[in-house]
Amino acid sequence: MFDKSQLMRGTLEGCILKIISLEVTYGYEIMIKLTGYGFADIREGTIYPLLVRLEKKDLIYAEFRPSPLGPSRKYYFITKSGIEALNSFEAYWKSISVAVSKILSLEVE
Amino acid sequence: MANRLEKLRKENNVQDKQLSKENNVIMTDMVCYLRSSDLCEYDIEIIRKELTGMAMEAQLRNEKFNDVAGDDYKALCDELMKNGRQKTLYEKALEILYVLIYGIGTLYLIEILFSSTIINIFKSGQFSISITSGFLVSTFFTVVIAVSVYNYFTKNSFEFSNHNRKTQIIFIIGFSAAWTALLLIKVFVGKTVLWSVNCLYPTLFLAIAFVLIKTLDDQHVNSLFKNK
Repeated sequence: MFDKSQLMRGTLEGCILKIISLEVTYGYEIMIKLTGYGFADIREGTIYPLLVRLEKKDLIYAEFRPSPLGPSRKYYFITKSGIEALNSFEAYWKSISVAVSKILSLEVE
Repeated sequence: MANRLEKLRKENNVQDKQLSKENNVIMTDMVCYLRSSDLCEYDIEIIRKELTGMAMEAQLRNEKFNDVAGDDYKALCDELMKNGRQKTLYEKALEILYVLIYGIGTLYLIEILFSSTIINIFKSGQFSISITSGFLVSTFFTVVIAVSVYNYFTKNSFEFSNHNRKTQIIFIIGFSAAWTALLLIKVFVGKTVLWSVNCLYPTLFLAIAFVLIKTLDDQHVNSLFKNK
């Protein structure tokens, strides 16, 4: 069976950057948005390591803010290099998705 | 200088108490396992704070922790280890020196308290201590065993929690064998006096070394907080 984890990792990173670029947000909210857009089986535990990775690469930064539910939450902001990474992801995704769609639409002659 | 990492650790300990028993066990396993990694201490505590927050919010939404974190906690920790910031060479050196000075210092004080040295100090004002080969060898092995036990325990925290028979047996046999060997070394090898020294000199040296390393560590940790 196709191993979706590699494809998911890169794709999710781009989508998370996009969501954070639109508004300052936190892990659970990002997960809800991703699920809402059709990413099935996404949990906070799936995206949390990606957020740690994006933060380490300085594509996002975070700060703790008080939460109405329990302890303070970590809110994420996009950085300048994060915007650049998002732009290059968008451009690459457009070109690759066209190519993949063409290939997948091929039929056996 | 107050170490802000210790403050954060205390805050996390307080938060842990608000978790359900089930979630507390999971968090303990995860944090134990993360401590076996090369992740820097600061990042481990930040990750701990966030994971505890996730677990608490899940509790408040009447969800289970695995609903938000997934079923494979070890895999989640592995992902975090892969993606988090690793310890720098400087941080590793400080950690090793801290363990060595703390371990040797503790064993040295035990040696003073449980040998004739303490009696001589109070009876005749003699501060001389005999450093034997047994003391040096047993101190070295005690530190090695303590570090090995810590590493084995943290690396296998999930297996211990799941009462994995094989892991428990390896641990018990290894632990017993190491301590038996240590006792035998202490009893049979350790009578040769290498040199005698005023016991206050090594105490002073170890105390200064401890304060120095602790100060350097505090400065470094606090600088990490400032840069965030």
